[in-house]
Amino acid sequence: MHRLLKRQITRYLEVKHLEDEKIKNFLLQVEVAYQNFEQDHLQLERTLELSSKESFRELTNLKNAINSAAMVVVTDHKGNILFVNDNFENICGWSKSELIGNNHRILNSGYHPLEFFKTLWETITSGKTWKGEIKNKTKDGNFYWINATIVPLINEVGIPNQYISIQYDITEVKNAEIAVREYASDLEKKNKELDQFAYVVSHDLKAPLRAINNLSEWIGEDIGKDVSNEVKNHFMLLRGRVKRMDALINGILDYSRAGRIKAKVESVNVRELINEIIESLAIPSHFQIKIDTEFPVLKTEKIALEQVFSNLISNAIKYNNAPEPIIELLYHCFNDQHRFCVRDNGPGIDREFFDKIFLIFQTLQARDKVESTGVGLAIVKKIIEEKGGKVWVESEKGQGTSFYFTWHL
Amino acid sequence: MIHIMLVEDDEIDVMNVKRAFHKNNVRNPLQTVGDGLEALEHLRSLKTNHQPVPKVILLDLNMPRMGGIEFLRELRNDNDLKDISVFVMTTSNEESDIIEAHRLNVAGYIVKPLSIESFINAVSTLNSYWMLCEFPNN
Repeated sequence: MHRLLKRQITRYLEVKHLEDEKIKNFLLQVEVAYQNFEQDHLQLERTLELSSKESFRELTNLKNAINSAAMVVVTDHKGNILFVNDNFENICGWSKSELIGNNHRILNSGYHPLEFFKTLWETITSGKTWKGEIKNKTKDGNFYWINATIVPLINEVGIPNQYISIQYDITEVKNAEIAVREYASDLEKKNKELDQFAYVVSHDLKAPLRAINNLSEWIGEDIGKDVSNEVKNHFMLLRGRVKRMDALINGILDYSRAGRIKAKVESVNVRELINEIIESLAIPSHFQIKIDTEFPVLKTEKIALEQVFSNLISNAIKYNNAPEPIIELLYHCFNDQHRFCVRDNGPGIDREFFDKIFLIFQTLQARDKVESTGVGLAIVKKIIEEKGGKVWVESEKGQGTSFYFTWHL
Repeated sequence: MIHIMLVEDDEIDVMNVKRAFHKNNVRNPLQTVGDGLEALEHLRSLKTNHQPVPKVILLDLNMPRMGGIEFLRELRNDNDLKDISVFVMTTSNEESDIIEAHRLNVAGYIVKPLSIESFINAVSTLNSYWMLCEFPNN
């Protein structure tokens, strides 16, 4: 018990009361209670002191971490700069003394429309945090991109009177992003130009070719029947070559068109599509066609898928010299990916040609033996890859060939 | 017998049409011009001189100065000439050309075949078609 209180009690309380057991007991208990209180109080003081030290240290740690990781700027409610950290100073090129007191507007690059800053200010003045990417200008007039989080600091009447903005320099990422986008659009343009070029050139090449064809036929007619077999044979060869060149030019046209035309997306029953293709191909009767029972219904460009199947199936027929030719159409679905296969028991393809066969105008036999332009598989590859899919071949010489492709929707 | 006009810039293609006419015994008068502009001028001068205007035009698409589609557009906008039947004969099988030509009311769109034989057959079919059809007298 406090000694002053003790003295007062002994001075004013009569002796007989002081001797009273009950009162003595009561005073003793007061004493104990007081001591307990004193102890608790001390404990509390000690704890408070410790925890305030702790939180101060935590705050400092946090501040140091932010300062080393990000740019920080604090402004008043009008955007006038009150504080910047070292990172901020280093990146924007202005010194602290130049920045403080100035409006944040001096960093404006002029890149963003007024509307952009209007939305930003509307957000933070209403007390909400704003996050976004801003292009700013350094003191030297260079540009830098930041990813900023602006937090309004609310005063005691509930109005934001300061803003703290934590910013990360994302200039490199942003530039890379822009470069990639430019590269992609450039590439797309170049590809379109190339297709357009192929188309125009093919048409221009066709006209003189038709003229050569006509003239050769007329000369043949006009010189009459009394010519040697050799001349007749030469005329025949000449026309054959003209036809081949016409087929090659048509091939270029088809190839360039395979990329240019965007067909409409519709619901395609692949099984029915395959039946239609098989009917249209007039397959010799000794061919056996085996088709998987499971085929999907896809939402896709029907014409594109039809072109792929029809090229692969007609190849499987054209080159199949087996006594009992078989063509199999298989389907497999895994992880939502549609994989199709056209398999034949024909002569097979050497491993070394697996890549070459997909190149335009590549044929594995002389064109005099099998009349072929070498465009079909190039078109197949172009269509499939343009949709993000893959096409590949598995084959053994003498064991038949399997063409696989994945079809993306 | 109706007059026919051929709009074609390639000399050998002109010869081709003439030979095919000859082979099919098509004896309709055939006038030839080299491009769309020349065709328009020719048609308009026939009209002003009250001479018979062709009832049928065989039209190429890719030509210098004024191509076939552009010519068709002009023709359909000309009150004196817009009822002429036009058959496009071209090497282009571009979908966009086919659509545009039909929008401009062509009577037919023929892709020139490479072989002369098919072309002779095509001309024969055309001939039977316009022999069968009635055209207004003017």
